[in-house]
Amino acid sequence: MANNDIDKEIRNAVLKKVSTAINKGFNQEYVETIRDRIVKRTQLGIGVDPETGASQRLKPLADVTKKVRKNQARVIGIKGGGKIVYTDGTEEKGLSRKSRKTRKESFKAFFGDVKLAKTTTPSKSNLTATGQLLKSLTVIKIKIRNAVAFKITVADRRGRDMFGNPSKIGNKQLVEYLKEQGRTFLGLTKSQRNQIAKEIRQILKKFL
Amino acid sequence: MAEQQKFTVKVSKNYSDTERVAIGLDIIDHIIKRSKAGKDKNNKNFPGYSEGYTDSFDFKLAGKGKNVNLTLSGEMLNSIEILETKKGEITIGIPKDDDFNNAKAEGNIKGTYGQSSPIRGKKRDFMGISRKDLSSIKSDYPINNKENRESTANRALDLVTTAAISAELVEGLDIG
Repeated sequence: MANNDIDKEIRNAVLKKVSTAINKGFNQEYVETIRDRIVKRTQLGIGVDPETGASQRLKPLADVTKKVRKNQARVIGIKGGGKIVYTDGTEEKGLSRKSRKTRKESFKAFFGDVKLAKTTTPSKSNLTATGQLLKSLTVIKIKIRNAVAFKITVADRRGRDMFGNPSKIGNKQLVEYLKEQGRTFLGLTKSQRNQIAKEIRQILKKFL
Repeated sequence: MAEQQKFTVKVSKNYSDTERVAIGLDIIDHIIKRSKAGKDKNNKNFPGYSEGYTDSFDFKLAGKGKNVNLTLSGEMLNSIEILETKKGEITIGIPKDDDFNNAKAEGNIKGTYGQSSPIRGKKRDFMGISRKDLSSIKSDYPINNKENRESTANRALDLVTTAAISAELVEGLDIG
């Protein structure tokens, strides 16, 4: 049902009746609830299709990633011909040139056990290793003339990575990297939009 | 591709499109509330969760309790929409292209949960509404006389307009 199907005059009349409710109900606290839902949804392994808003299962982790997260292996070098050698003696063969370059950059020398956040498991694809990315989601209040708007965004600063090494990239760059990998989470699914619209509608209903 | 999950209810042919949309929205609200209260489309209690599920990481991460409410992430129940309205009918369900939620819904409705055949006693059919509950919703939209027809038309228009305003506010949310 499109907005332009509703007479402008009727729309403005209803809006006048409920504008106080909108201003009271759509506040920082409520938007923080929405932020928390994005976090929880992602932690449960559900991302969002950036084109359609469809809910989608986040791409599974590569086997090599699971092994690293389980402390069963480490990438300690790349042999000629695109091989990665693990500390448990196994090898991963047949990497493409692109994969080799990406893995070489992301799996530099590191030591010590992987420390995963409690909100993930080694095999779970939920964009969580240390938990810093999802924890960084923040609500910013923006004042535009006499109106107030809210934005949900990521704070850029990151601490150490899951190996205990200082992070070389910020959260904003990480979000873009994940997006390129087809792992989009920073947005609302259609279901979440429906839920918020329903909640607002129920608040406004009382003022009609 | 999962089968689309939907159902159609019959309503008076004298309802306008706006009134059908308003009734449809109320039906969806009812389904979500009823499911969260642990009842199926016939108001019977949902069967309990399996031990395997309650022991799962996702169950604990979502902070769920033993009350069956068809809500882990909230994606499935909130994916229900009005699919179509025409004279005398309202069709409600999950959009055809929403494979993720249709699959989840199918699992619950048929009791399959990703298996090839249903698990005995584990059907949780939430996709529908009892005759009694539908009558109760329709009673909020009387059209049996001129006065009722007018107030129902105004009420429906207000509700549908607030739905549109709400959707607009959601679209205006800045995320990124």
